[in-house]
Amino acid sequence: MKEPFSEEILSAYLDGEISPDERARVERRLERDPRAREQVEDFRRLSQIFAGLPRTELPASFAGEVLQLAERRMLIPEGSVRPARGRASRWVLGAAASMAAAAALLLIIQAIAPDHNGPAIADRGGFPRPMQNGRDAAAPDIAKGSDGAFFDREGAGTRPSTTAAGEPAAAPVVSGVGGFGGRGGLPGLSDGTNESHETDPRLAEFGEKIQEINDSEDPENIVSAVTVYVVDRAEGLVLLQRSLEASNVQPEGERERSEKEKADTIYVVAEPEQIITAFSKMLDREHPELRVEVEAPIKVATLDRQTQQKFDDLMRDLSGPHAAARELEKADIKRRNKADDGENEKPVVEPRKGAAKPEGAGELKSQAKSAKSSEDRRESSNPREQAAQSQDAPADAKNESEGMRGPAGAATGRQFVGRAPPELEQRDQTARKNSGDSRRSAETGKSAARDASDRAKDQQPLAGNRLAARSPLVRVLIRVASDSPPAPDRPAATKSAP
Amino acid sequence: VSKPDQELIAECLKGQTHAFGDLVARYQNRLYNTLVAVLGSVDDAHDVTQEAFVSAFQKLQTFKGRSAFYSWLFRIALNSAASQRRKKSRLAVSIEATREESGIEPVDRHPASRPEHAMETTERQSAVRAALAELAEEFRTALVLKEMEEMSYEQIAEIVGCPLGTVRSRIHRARCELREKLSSLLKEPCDS
Repeated sequence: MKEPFSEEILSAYLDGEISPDERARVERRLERDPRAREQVEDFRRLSQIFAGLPRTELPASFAGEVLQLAERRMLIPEGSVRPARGRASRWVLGAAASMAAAAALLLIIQAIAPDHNGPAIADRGGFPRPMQNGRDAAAPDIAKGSDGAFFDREGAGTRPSTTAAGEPAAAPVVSGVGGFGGRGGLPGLSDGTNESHETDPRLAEFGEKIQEINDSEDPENIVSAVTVYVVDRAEGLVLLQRSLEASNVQPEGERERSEKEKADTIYVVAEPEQIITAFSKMLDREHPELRVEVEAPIKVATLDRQTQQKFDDLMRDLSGPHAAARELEKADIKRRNKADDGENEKPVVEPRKGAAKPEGAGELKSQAKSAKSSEDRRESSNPREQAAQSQDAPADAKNESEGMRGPAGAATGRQFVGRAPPELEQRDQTARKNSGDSRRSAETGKSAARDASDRAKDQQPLAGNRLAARSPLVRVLIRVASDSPPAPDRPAATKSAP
Repeated sequence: VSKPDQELIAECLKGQTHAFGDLVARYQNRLYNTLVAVLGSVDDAHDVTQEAFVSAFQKLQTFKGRSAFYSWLFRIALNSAASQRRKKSRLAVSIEATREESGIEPVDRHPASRPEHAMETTERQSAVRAALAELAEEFRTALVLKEMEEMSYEQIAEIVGCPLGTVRSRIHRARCELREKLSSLLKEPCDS
């Protein structure tokens, strides 16, 4: 009787990966089949050739280089990053610079940052070390910068990393500039490296999907669908392609797609951070033709110009020169926010007394509050006040986070500004104030562009830190849809793109 | 006495960075040489090795210990390699190109042998590398992990994330393709 026989079993036989029964079957076959014998013999010779391939040894300094590079990735000291090999450094620096503008945007909506379970920062030669009091004493003093409040807030109040006795927490983690991002150790993107999608509600849902992908440890990964709505299909497609390419995210053709899918989708495979960077850039540039939507319930929209102007006005108001009046307001706002926390979301931001409350401020109050909180922390020089702010921070963040992420947030059509200038305007204003020039410049918005290089420098730690970790590749299907009549629950502002 | 991987990882997570340095030193050459075979380029292999270790360091707290550290590391390396490969256009593969690309200076493991023999060995190795480079990525990876890492099918399945039967099939198909590509070389008398 003829035995069923698959040639694959010959390889398995050679590798000792078969059962005793299979072995007996193969050996019977080999006895009577010269072709099978020849095949096994050739396989054996191939193995010998492999065994004879030369092996090279890396220099003894390699481990040190790796540790240095890892440290630099985490700390990215301003102005000087040169990893051991040029390619990696160019990528990090280039991406860091390109992320600077997006980072500014994130500061506006900092209150979205979820509870931080992020990494301890390390000092020279010992980066994965436990933190003390939620903040590493040796961390770069970035909190002193204009963005300090953001870091301060995240670093001071919310990270359970050490016990009172200074013992390391159960899960010491390794990277991050004591800052934003990581929601409890999102692999690859967390550890303070993924502030974008963690703080930007437009990318929050996307970030969560990527977390799922990473958590699954599935090397095949998952296809996530992101819908990009375009006003003009051809123009939108070009812009989308350019935005992706600018972040080295190249469309792929590997996935089998139907003809219709091919016409309506772009399929990309890249590291999550690259994709997020691409979307961040896309949003940051505020192409009116593009609107990104990462499945329900998050709705993402760029603002129409009128609403944008209102928002800008509001931000200008909040960052105006009347600091004394604002000081009085702070206590009031805090009190009201606390009350609101009890009532579930709806943070309150009041414009400065005497200033007209801009139209549409209500729908923008979450961002405004974030920005104001940021400003409050920046401007506060009173340690007690800072401490009070830090204590408030987690509740604020939680409140905002829930509001933004949940269906309720989507249902209310919250809109987020896809650009950096308001935050930068704050900086400009603060700088002017400090220099004795409290004049409000009509050119404030344009100053963002002029200060681009300063921004990049200021925020290099932030951007660099974000890029510190690499992750498995994510396969993303980007659906391209025409942004014709908006869905009932879609923010009306999205339609008004020119 | 060298410490087990898990112990070094635990030390590293407690803040003793040098423990990770020990892990790097332990696996750097093994990973690098395997990546040279998978990627066909010493430069790429160097970059990916470095990147894999840096990523592993940064993600160390996510390592659950369900698999061996090296398997986990190699998965990270494969992801890094895939990422890097996608950024580069696919290189035309030829024996000469592969030799130039790889930059490998093969070492004659039989110093007493005659020069012609060394040349033949070099050519054979180059031919093998070129043929390897022509294999589909998934076949090449599976075969390299088997032949160079001497991993079990189960380990390979875990690293590349596919069923055991798929690993078996990939390895066999890779061997069959190599056998066909290197038929003339395999007919030569074996002296290695």
